[in-house]
Amino acid sequence: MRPRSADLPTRILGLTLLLGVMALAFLTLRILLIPLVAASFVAYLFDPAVVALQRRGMQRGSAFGLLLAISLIAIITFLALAPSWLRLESLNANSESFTDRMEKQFGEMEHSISQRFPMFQSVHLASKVNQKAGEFAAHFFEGLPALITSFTVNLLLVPFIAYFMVRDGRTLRRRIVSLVPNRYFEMTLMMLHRIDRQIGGYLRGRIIECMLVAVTQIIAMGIAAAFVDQPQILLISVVCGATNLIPYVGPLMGAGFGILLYLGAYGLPMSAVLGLLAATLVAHIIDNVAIAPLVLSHNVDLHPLTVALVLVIGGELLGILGLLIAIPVAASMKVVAQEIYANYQLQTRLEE
Amino acid sequence: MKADSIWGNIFRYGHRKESLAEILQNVPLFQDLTTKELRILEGLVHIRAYQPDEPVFVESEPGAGMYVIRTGRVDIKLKHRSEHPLVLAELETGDFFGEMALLGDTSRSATAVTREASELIGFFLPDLEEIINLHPSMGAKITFGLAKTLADRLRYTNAQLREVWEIRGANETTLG
Repeated sequence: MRPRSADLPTRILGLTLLLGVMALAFLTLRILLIPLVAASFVAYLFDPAVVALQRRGMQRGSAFGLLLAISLIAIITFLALAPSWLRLESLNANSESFTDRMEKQFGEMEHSISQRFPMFQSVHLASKVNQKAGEFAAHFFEGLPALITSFTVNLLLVPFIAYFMVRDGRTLRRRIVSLVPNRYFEMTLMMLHRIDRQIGGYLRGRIIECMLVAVTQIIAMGIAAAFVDQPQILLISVVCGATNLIPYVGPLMGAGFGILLYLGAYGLPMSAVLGLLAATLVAHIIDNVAIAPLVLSHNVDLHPLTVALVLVIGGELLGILGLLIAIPVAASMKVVAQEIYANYQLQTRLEE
Repeated sequence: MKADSIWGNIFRYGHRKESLAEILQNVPLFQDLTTKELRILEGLVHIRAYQPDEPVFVESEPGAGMYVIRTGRVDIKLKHRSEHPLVLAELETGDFFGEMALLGDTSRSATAVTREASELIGFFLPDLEEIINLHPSMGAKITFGLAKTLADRLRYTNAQLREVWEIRGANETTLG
């Protein structure tokens, strides 16, 4: 019999290979996680329309291509024909001009506060806030080219991945299920079916909610624009809609982006900021009262502490885009866990 | 013409298995489907291979759908007070079982075990839902076929119950 130690080099080699494969998988996942998740959002969003076209005899891939083309044409037409107050404007700002404008704005704000409330004279709000805002601006403008590059790459990659997800997703799922041993085959098939239905319902609901929030924000800011200066309505509304994916802090982040833009890049007075805040508040109230109850049939509640932890992890791993996808990914993982537990409970109940 | 003549060889397929569509067409659930619909069904069903004495499903476990026997034999058994389970049916090629699970989250009412190496065609609730979603008229034909099959089974059970009552009634009259 060969001694056990003779296997040691083979084991070390095997372990090294395994670690290498794991590291490679992690890196690939880290690079591709955002486009993969975004593509699955797109695939789930388009699925009901793809099914409707499939009923009319169209192939899934062609149906998705057609819908994507229609959506792109609709977006381009909208951008071309939108009224002047809604058009995207070029943003001419850099780290220095941003810091200067912020300093001026906060200096005026501090002056006005110290005149009305003399006890706050020793606080020196402007210098403190300006230092932080300056650091943030430097960091933001440094990372901006990389963010734009990554966004552009994802913009091209996402429809490509989504196309294959829509076209081959079901076949792939069948192939995976076919590999499951007979004993667990039915259980796996049913579980995947329920998970797919739940996640599909949840993601579609959230994406439609975000779109409606963006539209509400556009209308509210449009009304505010009649009274105060409100530039970049479309950009701010789209950001508010996207950040709405994040519970609790999402609307604040959207409004925060708008405030920084108004004060730092445009140097607008406080009345514009108040108009933006009022519009965001109105959009948030309409979302909570009317949009969310109507759209979210498969609501997945996450504990506030879970939300905070998930956001920290998402932000640390993948930055701003990580923050956006963290909650839907966590909610989907919760649905998977719930389904596995429900299946286990059903099995236990039936065996009793 | 001799069996091994040139024409016999050209047109003979040999000992081939019946095609999926041929087997599925003989199942009451699918007998009203057109050739095109049967082809769609062929693409949706799952082919599973089983060893002899391997359970296909177990009584009281959650069920996902039905099976049609492509090759081999399957016994349907029921747990019984005695050591040996009660064999309700011995099924062979072309027979089907487990169709009640297509109606939703129900538990299996019996255990199915292969008697020999078998190949089964599985048709499950997600597949039926997909058909109803994508091909509503085909879905209606299958669900109507399912309803007819279940009605036949109910009629058969009623007839058996009636027989049991009649035998019991006759015994009570004799004893009384």
